[in-house]
Amino acid sequence: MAFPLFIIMEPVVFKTQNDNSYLYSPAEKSLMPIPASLYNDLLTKGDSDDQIWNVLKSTGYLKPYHDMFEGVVDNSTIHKALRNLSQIVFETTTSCNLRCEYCCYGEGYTTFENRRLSHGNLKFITAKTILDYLCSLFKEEKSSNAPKEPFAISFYGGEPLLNFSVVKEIVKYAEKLDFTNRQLYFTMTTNATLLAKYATFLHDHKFKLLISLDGDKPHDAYRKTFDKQESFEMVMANLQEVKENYPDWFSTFRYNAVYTNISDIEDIVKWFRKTFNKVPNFSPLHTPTEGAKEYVKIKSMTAKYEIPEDIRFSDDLIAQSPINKRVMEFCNSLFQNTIYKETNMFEERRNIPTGTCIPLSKRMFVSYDGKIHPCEKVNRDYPLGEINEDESVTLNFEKIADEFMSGLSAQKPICQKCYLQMCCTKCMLCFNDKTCKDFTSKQQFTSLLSQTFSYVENHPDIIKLLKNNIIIK
Amino acid sequence: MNKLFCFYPHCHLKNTDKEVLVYDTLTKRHVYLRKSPLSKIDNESLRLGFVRVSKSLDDFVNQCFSCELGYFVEYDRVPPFFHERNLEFVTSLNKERNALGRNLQSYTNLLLREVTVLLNNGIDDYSDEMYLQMEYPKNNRDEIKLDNILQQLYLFQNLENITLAGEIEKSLLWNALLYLKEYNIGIIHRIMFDAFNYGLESELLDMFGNYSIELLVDNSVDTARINSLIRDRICVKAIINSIDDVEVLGGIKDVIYMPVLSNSLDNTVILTQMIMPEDDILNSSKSIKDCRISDYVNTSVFGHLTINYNGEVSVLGKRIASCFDSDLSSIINRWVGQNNCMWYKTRGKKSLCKECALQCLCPPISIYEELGLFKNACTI
Repeated sequence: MAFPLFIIMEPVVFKTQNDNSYLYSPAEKSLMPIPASLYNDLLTKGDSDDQIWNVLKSTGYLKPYHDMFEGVVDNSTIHKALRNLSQIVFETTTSCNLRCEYCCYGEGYTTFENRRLSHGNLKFITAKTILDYLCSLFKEEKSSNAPKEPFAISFYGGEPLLNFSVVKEIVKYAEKLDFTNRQLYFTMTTNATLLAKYATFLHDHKFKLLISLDGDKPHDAYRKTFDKQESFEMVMANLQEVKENYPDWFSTFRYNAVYTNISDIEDIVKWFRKTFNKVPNFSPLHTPTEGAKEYVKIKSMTAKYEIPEDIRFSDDLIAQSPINKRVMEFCNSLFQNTIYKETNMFEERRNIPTGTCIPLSKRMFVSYDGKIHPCEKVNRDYPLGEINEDESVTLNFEKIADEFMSGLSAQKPICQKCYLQMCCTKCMLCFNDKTCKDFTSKQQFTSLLSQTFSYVENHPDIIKLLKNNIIIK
Repeated sequence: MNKLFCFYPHCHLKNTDKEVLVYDTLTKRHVYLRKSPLSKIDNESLRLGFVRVSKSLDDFVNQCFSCELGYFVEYDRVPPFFHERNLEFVTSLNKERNALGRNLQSYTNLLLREVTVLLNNGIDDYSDEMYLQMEYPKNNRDEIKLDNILQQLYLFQNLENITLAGEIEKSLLWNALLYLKEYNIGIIHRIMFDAFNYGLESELLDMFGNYSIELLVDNSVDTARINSLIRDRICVKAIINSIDDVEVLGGIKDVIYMPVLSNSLDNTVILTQMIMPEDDILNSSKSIKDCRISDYVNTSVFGHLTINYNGEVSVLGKRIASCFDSDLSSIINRWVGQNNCMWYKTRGKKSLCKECALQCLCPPISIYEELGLFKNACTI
């Protein structure tokens, strides 16, 4: 893709479907309705005699915007992030008893090639070493009675229950540890094929479960067993048994449905509501890697989704709609008076390129072989550190910060030209070939603004509704 | 066609039950009406940055238009979108509390930015209320458990400055500086000139790059002598009891005046300099961001705590709790959600000011008002 020569964002004028005209000034982070005559002047002449135009010009709204991305992540940032860590995710095993056709560890992707080609189970000693390390780090804080964010130990796979013995050992060990004022809880993402077998233990230790299930039988058709049979009946039998034995616990389960070309959101929502009195969390397929062996197949299974308007505003779906998410992203990032949190009020925001999280600020992911990553979704080729066989932990905060900053520097030239730079949600650690494929030009941004604010004009209460329903950490 | 009058985004808009202000933060042009012509619906729309053009608002709109505070926009079917103009937070204390039913320590700890620790004071020249205004300890020779206080401050990752106010033993100060050196926190020693040891302080300034001195002087000092002591990272604050002090102490290089009032003295003349008339307020150089922040928090104290030598934690002289009985982190965590939290006490929450549309342009509520030395910061 060719990028524009000038590394600036210019002001953007656009019209909505309702024929209202606007100017968005990235320099002043302001959106203002403008008279149609001014809009026409700007489109045709690029200038105007209008009094408004003169005021806007003299007050800086028409200046180009150029972000130098001066935000800095250093070793103390990483140290602080780790001291406030709220989740550790263990890759219990790489084995899985299903062969879902779209699996991100399959042949449609090169991003996770190293993970696909390696097999193993997590050892208890690996988990023990990192938990001991974190506990001693948390103890750097003086004990306090103020409520702290709870700390989650999460299990992920493969199918985590295929290595149940390590899950059991970790839980029993962790429950004896002191996480300094943090309340401990356990979570697991599972395909539920072995759920009934281990339900008693999971129930007794109050696991919060996320069940992978795409819908009723026709919608769940891509989730197959080893011998290419559909897994639906087996999963439902497990869920039914758990429901009968532990109805209260069962009612806490959450579900994740991957949206594909065979999905029909309305039918899926209807079925989940009827069967579990819940709606699932919809997630799109990972974008397959061009040139990968099964690229064409996965590409054909990929579909863009939107929650139909008649069910989009219910409390359990409102935050899942892509257009609603876009409205939130724009409202949270494009306006001068929107600040991330109270503590940032007095300082000028210093941004970093891309939408990548600061390593370890959200969670820590430990792969089966003791490598430490910022999250389970990232490319596994660049671990942040590792848990060694001699029961020590290698986590060099300075090196993590340096590598993070150098990765960001490489993205900077593209981000500076991208019109979505202020509200980017893309993680550089998930890019194929380290390149962002979502560069947004001025023309694309203009069209996005028009779509988004047409929607907002037609749904005047949407921002209030979203703010009441979405809590961002 | 429907017609709206839209205010430029850099204009500060404030409407109360009685008054309305439209203020251009760049040119300072404004329309300030003591009797607002806006209806309840107009007040709602003004919050978003527009009013509907109607006969009843003709005068107001025309005045605003002639001052170049806004412009007209017409629409046919659906009105255009206006984004909220007040401060908005992606995540905030209120949002977390509503979602979780409590404040999280990880959030409330981030709010603390500055702490003043009140130490010893062997000079009994002023009354208690005067020391409160200076944020300086009352006369005392008590033992100070500085370690206990400093160790608690380690938790606060946004802490930028610690002011050690008053007299302190050399070894205690030395240990404190060594302890805080690795945390990248600025240390300011606020000290009365009569207790100031130039040799020692100079040595410490040379050794610790994050250390600075705030020297308090009154009209008894020799200004030439003070000027000879000034060096990098020594700032002089002049205690002003009367208007004559300004002249006497004005010869000190880069001096900062610190009015200190007393109920037992006649403050009339000095108050004329401190209390602002309407014109001065309307000429204040506040940006649109400053106005928004003033509407949300008390900018003079937000993020600041005073800890007395006996562990008492306070803000603007109002006691919160003792950090020797409970830890500072818990104290802040409990206090920020309460109505009496001074950090969030804006003029909009003060009965004398809440009807005034100039409230965000005015200086924030200060120690002088809290001590009753004057009722209001303005003559309006």
